[in-house]
Amino acid sequence: MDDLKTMRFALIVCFVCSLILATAYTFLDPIYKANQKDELRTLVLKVCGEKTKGLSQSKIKNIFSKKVNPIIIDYDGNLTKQQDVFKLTESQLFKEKDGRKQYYPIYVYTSDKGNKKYVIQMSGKGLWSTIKALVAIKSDLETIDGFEIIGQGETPGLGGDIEKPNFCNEFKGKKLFKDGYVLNFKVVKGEADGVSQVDGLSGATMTGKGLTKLINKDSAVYNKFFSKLRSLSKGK
Amino acid sequence: MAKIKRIITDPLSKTNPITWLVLGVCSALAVTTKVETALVMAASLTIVTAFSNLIISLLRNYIPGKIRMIVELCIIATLVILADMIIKAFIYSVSKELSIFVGLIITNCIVMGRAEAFALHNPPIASFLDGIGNGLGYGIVLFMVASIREILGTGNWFGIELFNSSEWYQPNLFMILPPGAFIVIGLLIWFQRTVIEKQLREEN
Repeated sequence: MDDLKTMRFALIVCFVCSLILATAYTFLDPIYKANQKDELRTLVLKVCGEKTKGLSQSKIKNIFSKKVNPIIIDYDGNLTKQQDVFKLTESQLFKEKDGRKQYYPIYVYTSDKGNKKYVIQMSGKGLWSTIKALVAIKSDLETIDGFEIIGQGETPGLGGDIEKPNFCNEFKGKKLFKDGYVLNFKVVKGEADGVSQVDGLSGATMTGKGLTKLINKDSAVYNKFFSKLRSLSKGK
Repeated sequence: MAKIKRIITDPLSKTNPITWLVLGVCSALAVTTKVETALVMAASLTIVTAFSNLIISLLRNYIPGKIRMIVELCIIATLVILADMIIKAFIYSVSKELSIFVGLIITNCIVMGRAEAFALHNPPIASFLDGIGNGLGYGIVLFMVASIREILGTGNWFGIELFNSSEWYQPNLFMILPPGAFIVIGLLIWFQRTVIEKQLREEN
């Protein structure tokens, strides 16, 4: 009899708890997803040099839809059937299988004056976490115009500082590609020289190695698409 | 009235969960690299402890002794996941730095410890206040540790530059790493015990 009571109590507790969580999830998860999308829009504009500070989310949405046209390519550089970036889940965007991701988004940005920039999204393992970055490429399809970390969980104060402006700004003017080839990009220790090197952070060797690897890996994929763009513009 | 006041004020210093009971130390090491994250963590823990104490105290006459701890765990876990979802929905920027640690509130010994030690034997309102008191006690220590670590480790406080780290201040990276937290918390425990033991002796 006592056991029955115990069982009944346990069942009721489980039922009530799961009911509460399910209800909360239904209401709160859409807000969370919307937050993530808002953040992505803000960061894409930021990496292109747009001023986003202090703007409301609806304004950012407005600017984004006017100036940015997202496209998605696959590992071979072809456009995918799915073209709505905001419908993709985290795992579709960042999960790697056999070194490949399912989707590689490019945000094509057109400034007021008509200049184009291509923002590519890169991700890969750092020391502890998946590092996610946005890189804006100038219309010459070679030079980096902006670099922004959009997600990381590296050691706070050491590797975590890769998201700070003084590190991200180092990427400006460096080159990922040259004459149609992918340059061997490197986060180096000590002085950075050359167009494809940036000065790494001290105390964050492993994070730097991870960055080097993920940048080179994903640049190679995006270069497949950029090669097509280059031959198109030559044809003109 | 005096008793109720003591329920809240005692955990702030005399029976502080971290420096006196030495509970919840793991999270105190993990989230104290920045003051902001430390404060959000402390606030979430305070809310979770208060409500888990309240609910467990309301159910204390019905919870079967055999499955006591499992029921407590179930309630605490529900509250923690709820807190995590609320943070993600309404303070998104903070959630990015905290999300793993919020999940870890479930394993924070303070919540379970207070449920077992207090809520099971005391009426709901007192239990609720005990939760708040212990959460605040945890918060105070976290705030002190995080302030020391952030200021010495980066030269900033609340993300605002106090010492100019690019010019004359060489940040002490050691403070940012876990050993820095061990040392700061160790010093706090030593300081608190010396002071309070002296107080107690004077009272007697």
